[in-house]
Amino acid sequence: MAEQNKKMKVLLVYPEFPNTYWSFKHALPFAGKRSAYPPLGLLTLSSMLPAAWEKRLVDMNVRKLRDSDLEWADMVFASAMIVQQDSLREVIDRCKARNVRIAVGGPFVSTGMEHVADADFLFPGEAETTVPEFIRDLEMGVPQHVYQTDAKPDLTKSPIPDFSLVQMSRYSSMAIQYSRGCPFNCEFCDIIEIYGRVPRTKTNEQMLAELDALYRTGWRGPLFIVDDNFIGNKKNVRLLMPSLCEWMEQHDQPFRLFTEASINLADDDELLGMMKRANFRRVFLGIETPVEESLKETQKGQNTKRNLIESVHKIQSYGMEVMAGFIVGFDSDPADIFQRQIDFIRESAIPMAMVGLLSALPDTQLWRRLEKEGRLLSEGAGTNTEASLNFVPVMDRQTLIDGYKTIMRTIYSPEEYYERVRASLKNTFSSGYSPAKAFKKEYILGFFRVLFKLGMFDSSRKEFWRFLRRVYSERRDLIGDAVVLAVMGYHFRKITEQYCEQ
Amino acid sequence: MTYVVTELCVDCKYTDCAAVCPVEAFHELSDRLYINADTCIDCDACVPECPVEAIFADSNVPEQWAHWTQINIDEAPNYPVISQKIPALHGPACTGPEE
Repeated sequence: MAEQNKKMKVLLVYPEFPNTYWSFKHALPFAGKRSAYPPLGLLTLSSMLPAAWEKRLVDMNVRKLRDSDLEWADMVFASAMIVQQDSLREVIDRCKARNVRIAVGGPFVSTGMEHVADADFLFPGEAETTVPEFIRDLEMGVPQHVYQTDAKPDLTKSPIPDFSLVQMSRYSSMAIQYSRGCPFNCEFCDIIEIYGRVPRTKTNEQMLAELDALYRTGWRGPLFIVDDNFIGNKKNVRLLMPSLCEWMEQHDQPFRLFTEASINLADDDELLGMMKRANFRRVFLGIETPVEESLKETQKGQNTKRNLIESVHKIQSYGMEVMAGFIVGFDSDPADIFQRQIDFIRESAIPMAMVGLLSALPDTQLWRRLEKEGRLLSEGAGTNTEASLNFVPVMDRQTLIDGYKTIMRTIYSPEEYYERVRASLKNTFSSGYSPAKAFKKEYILGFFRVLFKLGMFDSSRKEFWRFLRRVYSERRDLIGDAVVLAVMGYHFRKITEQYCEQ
Repeated sequence: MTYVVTELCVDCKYTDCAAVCPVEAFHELSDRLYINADTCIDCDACVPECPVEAIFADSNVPEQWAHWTQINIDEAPNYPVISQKIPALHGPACTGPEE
């Protein structure tokens, strides 16, 4: 049936994340939040759908998907990463049971379409290119099952995300995107397979319009620039930064920015200076390992031939807390890799170290090599923990898993973690974002929750109070950051306990 | 801003840099490579690949090779693009390692 002129009712559904390091589920309740970030892909998709269509968003990380939601909808659009696959399966099954058509996109579909082949419409790759074609086919009554293209959409045509769908009070941060893709060639990475190695960026005008749109919603506070590598195209980033700095200053620094970048950021003082001026307060780096041979094996040339610890300290000195990813399980990892990772994380003063077991994600160079070597076992869960060790490692499997658990237990023990936070705060130059401003009214309740839970009922309360006392005497201007990091540490400790008991 | 191939490349002509460049910014001469300033996106991917450390950001070129920035800008577009690894030239003047 042709659906021309029909006012479609579209339900955008974001499946639930399992409880992992990245979910922050033990930390969010302190701030009265349910999820870290809104589903930016679905918000962008919403802006691409016909204005006459009615749209609603259900982020299952924020609230349950009710049967009445599905009954309301003519069609469901879901987007998921690999780690959300179980929840996505449930969504598809529920739609099927109610005869509601479902369209599925996002990274999971891009590399594992066969797992969701029973969905009515599939959008592997980036949907900006294919959604207009789908809408046209739908209106003519001839929609296809799969809308696939190898073309990488021009981000300068990407619309402003539809922030009106988001119940902002439920999130600890908002999100926008400047670029997609990463120029580097890490063997384990699926980003470069999905989004390519030529970083595409939005224009300065687009970015400022998105910031304006977000500002008009009334949102103030953390804002994640969700790029795969914010400095992948430094030529364009250098053009953006002066405008971004100016916008932030004109609007009295309404957002605390954080993003992901490669460690060569440390080599560019000018860029670091501009990021500090624009109120970037945290950056996630893919450090992976301090072992040069392992870095070479995984084709991470950008991390070789440098003093990684000095690079981290340099970035911290520009007012950005460094958060980083680490991996164990490379073929070249030496027997003492676990202690070396622990020592590195301690010395670099990275509070939030996301350590994972190497995982071969579908369609990556690593996947293809291991398949050729006959070492692949399964597809993996995308959680970077024991369940995702989906290949035969060179190191004895149990030794690797035990060593991984030793790292986690060590780095997230309260003493070790609080020491790293203190060191990080000392290294981090305050960029003038006053504690009073960081500590808005809505955080006061959160502060008391922290005092009750971590200061009175937690088994590590002694360490917590000692930490707070020391920070108060050393860097009282950053006490707000210290409390937030204490909460994050609690989350990491709880998740570690959960993994290590498995 | 751009990245610059300097004299250290001459007679060596390793091409690991060209193979990792995501935007095909390298151009090939008989004994060296140049970087096209218009194509280069300043991503840094090539820098750690060079066995003789011949590539620098233009803001960071050692003084004795400062004029190489202009040489790259002027000359690169006159030569064909190279985006694959080929055996290094490793001529008599090259002090880098054998491949």
